[in-house]
Amino acid sequence: MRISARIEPTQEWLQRFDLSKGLRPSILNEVGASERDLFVRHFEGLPPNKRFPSESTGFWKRAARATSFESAGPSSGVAGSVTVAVDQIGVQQRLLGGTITAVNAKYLTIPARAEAYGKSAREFSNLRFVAFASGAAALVESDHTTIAFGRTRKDGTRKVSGTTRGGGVMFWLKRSVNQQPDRGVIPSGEAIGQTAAMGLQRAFEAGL
Amino acid sequence: MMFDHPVTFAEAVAFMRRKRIFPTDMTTRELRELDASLREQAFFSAQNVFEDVLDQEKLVIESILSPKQVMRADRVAPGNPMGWVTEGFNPATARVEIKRALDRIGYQPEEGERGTIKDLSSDARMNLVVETNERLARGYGFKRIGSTPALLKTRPGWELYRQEDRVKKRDWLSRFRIAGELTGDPIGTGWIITPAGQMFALKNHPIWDQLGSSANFDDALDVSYPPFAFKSGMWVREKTQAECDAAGLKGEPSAGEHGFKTVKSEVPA
Repeated sequence: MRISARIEPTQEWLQRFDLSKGLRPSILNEVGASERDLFVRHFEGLPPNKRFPSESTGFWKRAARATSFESAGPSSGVAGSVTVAVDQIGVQQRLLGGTITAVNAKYLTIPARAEAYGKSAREFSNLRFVAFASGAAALVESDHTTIAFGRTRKDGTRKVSGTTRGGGVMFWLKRSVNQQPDRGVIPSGEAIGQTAAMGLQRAFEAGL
Repeated sequence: MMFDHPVTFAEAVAFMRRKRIFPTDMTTRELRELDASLREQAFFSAQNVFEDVLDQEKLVIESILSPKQVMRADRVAPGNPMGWVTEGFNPATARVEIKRALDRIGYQPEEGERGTIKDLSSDARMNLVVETNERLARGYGFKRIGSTPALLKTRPGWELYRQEDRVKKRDWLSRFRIAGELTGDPIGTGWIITPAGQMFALKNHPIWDQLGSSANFDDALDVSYPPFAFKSGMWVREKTQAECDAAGLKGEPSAGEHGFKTVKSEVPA
């Protein structure tokens, strides 16, 4: 999923930096790089998921690497603009929220256990569908026995032990889920504005 | 600030699209003997001779790098009045898709290799292929974008840092020092390790070639940009002129775009 944020110089900036002829690409690139770094640091500082913190999939670190920028030169009444893009599925959904409904399948799969987090239900071959009296539905681990072989003894025999497990809910099944928007997943508007101003300042000091 | 139609990380996407499928039974070590430019233009995976599987792997990686943005009525929400949705693969669905491609050709791992990194259908192998290629493309794009003359002037340095945690961390501080010494430049000239252990170098300093060279480090990817080595967890961030000055980094960045050649050299005994 991708999001982008466009930053356009305000009238105050235009007057302060004498940008009447628009911003050169080299200046815009410095502003863009500054904004990209702001987003990268912000993503890197976000905590892993709350439900399974020890099973981090590195979602926000991947988002940091997927962050880039593009700039556009002067156009009608605009001195230039910079677009920050995050080419990763899931970022925009967390930012904007909204209802997700199963489209290509009957249900959405919601991880119920740490082993399921960051995985697709299709990656498991031992799940069975269970409908509970409450109306809830889940994919449950089938009963299975894990056999472990111990070290070979002096007489050549080995200890063999078996553990039977299963029956635990791996994924809850839902027709749809509603996610609350979280504006905190991207930097504040104030930080974005300050960063753009610092980028402009740096570009002018470097004589770009 | 406003939300707008997205742009893709064009350099990273182009890097992956340029690659041609290269089925091979060569091992990682044998692949390293190939010319670096050939490796950069080819999409391969050690001992993977299945063209259809490689093709599928390349497709899912391209999708991860450049997900599609579509408008859907069912996703219209107060915060998303246009119903924008991004569609494509994530690491989990990528593994499912690669596994399907392997199932289609009836792939079975060799005896005794099931679940190991040599098993093309193991999570570890599929993760390695997807993660490594995705990171290489992003690293290449990051370097290209930061190599314009203007950005070399305002942000002449890179800092090498650990972006992702690892259970067994490799000693990148030592690697950085070895790589720096191999360039022949004394510490402080073009590269530096600050008292706090930060690793800085000019973007166009040959230390980056040395750091990513498999002649120096067995797990290196023969590139001069992150991730430098398989599953390194390392990345770089740009450093401004003021930050480089504050760190005591001396040296003039050369004008123009930084070359992409890889320098191979041996670690002194």
